[in-house]
Amino acid sequence: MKKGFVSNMERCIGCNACVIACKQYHGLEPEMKRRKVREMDENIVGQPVRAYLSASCQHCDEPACMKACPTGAYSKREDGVVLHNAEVCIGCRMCQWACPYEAPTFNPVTKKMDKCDFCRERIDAGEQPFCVAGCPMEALEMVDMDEINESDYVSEVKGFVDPSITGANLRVKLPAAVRQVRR
Amino acid sequence: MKKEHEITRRTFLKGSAAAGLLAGIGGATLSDFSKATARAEGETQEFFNACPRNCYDTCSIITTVQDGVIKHVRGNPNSTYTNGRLCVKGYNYPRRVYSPDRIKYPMRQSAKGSGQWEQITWDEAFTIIAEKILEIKNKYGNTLPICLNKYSGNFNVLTYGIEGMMSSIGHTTRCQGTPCWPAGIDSQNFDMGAILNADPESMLKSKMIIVWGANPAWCSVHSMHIIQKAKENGAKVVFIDPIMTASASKADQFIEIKSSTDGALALGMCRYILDHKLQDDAWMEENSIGHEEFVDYVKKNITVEWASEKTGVPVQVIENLAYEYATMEPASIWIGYGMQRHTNGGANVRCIDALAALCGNVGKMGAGANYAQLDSWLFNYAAMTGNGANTDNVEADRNININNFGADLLSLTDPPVEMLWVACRNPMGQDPETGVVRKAYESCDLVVTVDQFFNESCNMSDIVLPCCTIFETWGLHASYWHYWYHGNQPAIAQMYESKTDVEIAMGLSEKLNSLQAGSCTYPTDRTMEEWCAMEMTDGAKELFGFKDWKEIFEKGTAKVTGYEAAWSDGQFRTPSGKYEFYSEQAAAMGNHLLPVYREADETKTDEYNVRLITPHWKYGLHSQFQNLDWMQDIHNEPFVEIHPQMAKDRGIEDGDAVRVENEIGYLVVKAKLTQNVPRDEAVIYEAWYKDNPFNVNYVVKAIPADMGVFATGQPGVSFHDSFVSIKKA
Amino acid sequence: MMLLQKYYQGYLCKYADLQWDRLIEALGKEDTDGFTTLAKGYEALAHTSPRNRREMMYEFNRLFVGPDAPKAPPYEACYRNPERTLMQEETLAVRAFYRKAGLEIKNINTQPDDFIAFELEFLLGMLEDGSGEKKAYAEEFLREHLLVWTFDHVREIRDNTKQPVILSMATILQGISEALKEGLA
Repeated sequence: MKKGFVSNMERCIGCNACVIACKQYHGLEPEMKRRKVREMDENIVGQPVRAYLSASCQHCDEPACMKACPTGAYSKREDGVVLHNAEVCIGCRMCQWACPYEAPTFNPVTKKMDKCDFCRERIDAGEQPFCVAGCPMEALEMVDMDEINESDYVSEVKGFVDPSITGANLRVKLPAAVRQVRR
Repeated sequence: MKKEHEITRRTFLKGSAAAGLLAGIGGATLSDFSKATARAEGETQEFFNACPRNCYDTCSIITTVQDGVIKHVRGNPNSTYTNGRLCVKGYNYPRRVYSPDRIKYPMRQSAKGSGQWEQITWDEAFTIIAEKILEIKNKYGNTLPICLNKYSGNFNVLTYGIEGMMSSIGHTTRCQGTPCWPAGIDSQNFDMGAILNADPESMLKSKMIIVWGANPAWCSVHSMHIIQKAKENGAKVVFIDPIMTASASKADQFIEIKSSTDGALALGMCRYILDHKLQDDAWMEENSIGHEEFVDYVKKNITVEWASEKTGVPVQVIENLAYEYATMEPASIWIGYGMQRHTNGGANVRCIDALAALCGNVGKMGAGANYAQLDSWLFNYAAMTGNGANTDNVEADRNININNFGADLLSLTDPPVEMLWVACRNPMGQDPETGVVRKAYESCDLVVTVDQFFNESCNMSDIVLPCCTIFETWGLHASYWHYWYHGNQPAIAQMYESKTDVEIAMGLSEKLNSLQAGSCTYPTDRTMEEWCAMEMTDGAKELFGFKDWKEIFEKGTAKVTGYEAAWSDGQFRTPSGKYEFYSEQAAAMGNHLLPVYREADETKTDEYNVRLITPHWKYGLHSQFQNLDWMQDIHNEPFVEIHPQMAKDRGIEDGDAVRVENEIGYLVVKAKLTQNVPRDEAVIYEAWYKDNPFNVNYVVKAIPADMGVFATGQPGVSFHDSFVSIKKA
Repeated sequence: MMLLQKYYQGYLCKYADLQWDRLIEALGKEDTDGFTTLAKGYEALAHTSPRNRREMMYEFNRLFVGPDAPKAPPYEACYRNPERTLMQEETLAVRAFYRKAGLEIKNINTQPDDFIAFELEFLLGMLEDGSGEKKAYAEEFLREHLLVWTFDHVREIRDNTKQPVILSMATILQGISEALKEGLA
């Protein structure tokens, strides 16, 4: 069992509902986003479309945050979820520097870092993470990386960080090509 | 000198003459406090609310409240349309309720636009307003000099209490019509007798879906989900639009069409269908009148080549599309409101309706020419009660065109407008030709605006009154697209001194009657719960199987059934009872009898030759939501989308400041280069940004659309027919 | 302190000239105990003209009330959290403190608990009580809440207005805050 996210760009419309749903559920502070939606290159599938990628923490196999943290504030659960311990955190921001996906963000009120924890209380209770449950397009999925059919997805997306750097547990379905008739 | 560690010994804290004076003002110390009540820590409650915005999706919401404070919101899974999920705007609701920017108290401005505001009590506000109303009544013998400008900022059925309040005073001037969708409403009224779309959830059964001039990804995300699922189940999804929108990016096929030529495409398809005998003669024979005349018109006047030339769509594509539409059954068409915001918008909708009828695609499950519906609005409109007119010396309300509000108001002289009441609207922000609207505001002695957040309309008002959010009151809600009917209960206490529109109406009525008995007939003694209880019709209760209206709060929502395939009973609501290709009602309104192609009016000039399209924005609903802190965090800057070719021709690079101008005004905005807009058109999304004077309406003209008068009393607005020049600033 | 509480509740906005005169006279007799900022504040207030005092309400509303977004919203949450949204953790922490002392604001949830007038009133109530327990609450409240943000609030007021009465009151708030802070040390 290794938890990961699937971000289905075929369904994703870049609305940021996932970002805000997460923020309000977790009561996040300003400028803190556990999840970010990126506008991707419009030629990503050949002809121009509007394409977006939603990604949070990738709960990597080899978390860069864990390596960079001087106080041991990061840990990785058996099921793969990478957790941040605010009590031990000193807010030095080394993890923010180290993470290639911009996952840890700085909480300006507590002066500590913050990161997606896969909605651990929800998933431990058998529920979906709030972003997954809240996306109106059902474009996000929580998956078991050991069980998915890798050929259904890609892990590398043009314009997004190379996932092999840290063994990111994010799989993406690229947008489908659109047959276009342009003037 | 060492200071004592005893702060209580500071003499300035008590026993002084000043303290004595001050103690006499307001209450004694701790009079604002009471004993703490026993409360279980961390106990949460859940309530049902409904999003009352003007939106196809009108979501049912579950609100989690802890210790009287909203913690978060989520979609209600009991509605299969809301599907347990909200949109990016909906998830921002807690920020809206608790924003420090919220209007909290009634306030009066020393002069419009001065920025000098005085806090007044509700009693003072009601007194000022009531005295003005009575002054007008006594001077003119009627209240026509009072004008109401109200629309759809809040669609809780109880907001019709605003109209009720006006009717209870006497006859007044009303902004009639609607900016959104009237041309298409007329068309569908001519063709079918009413707007009546098939339940959007039925699109799951469609084999082909054509979305024509709509952008559901941004404006009706739950329908976008349905369309996406239909596509994944094998339906062919086609988007027809001048812009490659976020929605069109999900299509099987995107067809870029020249703006305003949609009717030509539909007619071209009809020609192909007729040539290849793919039409449904049996259906037309049974269910329509005028099909022979229509077929004759098409055969004599329309060719696919002609359609191709008009629309910019290649012949082959038109032919394929026509073939597929006529043969893939069932095939559904979604006619968007954006598409009919042209001077020929109504005519274009008639042509698309005709295409559907030609193929017998009206009344079948998974088919239809779907636009909107109001059948699910099963309300008594009890809040809209009002009959104060018996003391009047005129016969009826006076109507002006909501879409030409500024100019129309200024033109009234007999009698002139002296008082303006604005609610559920932001005319200074949203109306075309802002300068004229401003003059209209300035011409009124007393402008009263009811709102939640300060905007340009508030700035031009004399009195601003704070209204509640939907979380602070009762309500019943329907959508003009899906068929779910929602209940809304108070999740939290009314904040500051905010009131609901009905409470404002009751307070004003009480004040008016205290000054002059019988001057207002609006009831003054009901609670909001009692008002709400009066709204659910018996028909609704029967349909839902309720004995009491409150049963709606078991699930928060209930489905209005029977519309899975609209018009399946063939009972069209036209004079003939049939689908009318040939519509005398249309002709009576000055339109062609048949759904013919009507060229859009020429509004382009040599100098201003770039069409400006101003569609809805994804992070806001008109001037709502974009101003909230978390929304600003995602995106906080207006921009103009232009094609790289257009940019190159003008020496504009991505991010440059661009001047967008025409006869009525100009804007300076940042350029965003994208291949997802037409080469010859520019796109600016209409939105209002906090602390930013940006307003796309500085360059949008109030050009009337061809239809709208029949069903709504006034023509629509051709928002997308304004032309501008685009230059590097 | 009561002066500030009544001021923030808006009572001085519609004060008549004569009422102002009496108040200023009474304040002139206050012993400011060597606290120069406070004394400066009273002095500045005494030097404001009747016209300044009459027009004060416009600036008061622009800074503290509305209807436009207030420039210096007088709520603790607005100074402890850059997003400034009310009724979140910061406001609720103040609510919890009141509860600890056995109190809560009336009509709870209709107004933010951390409105400065409520905080000042609470503090006054604790101090006026005289008991050791209440005094301890007062001191803790000053340390954990009121004094954490009043200086920033004063700064924001100074950045956003030149109105003499408002500025005088800001100086008075600063003076009181300084005095209380020293008293705690």
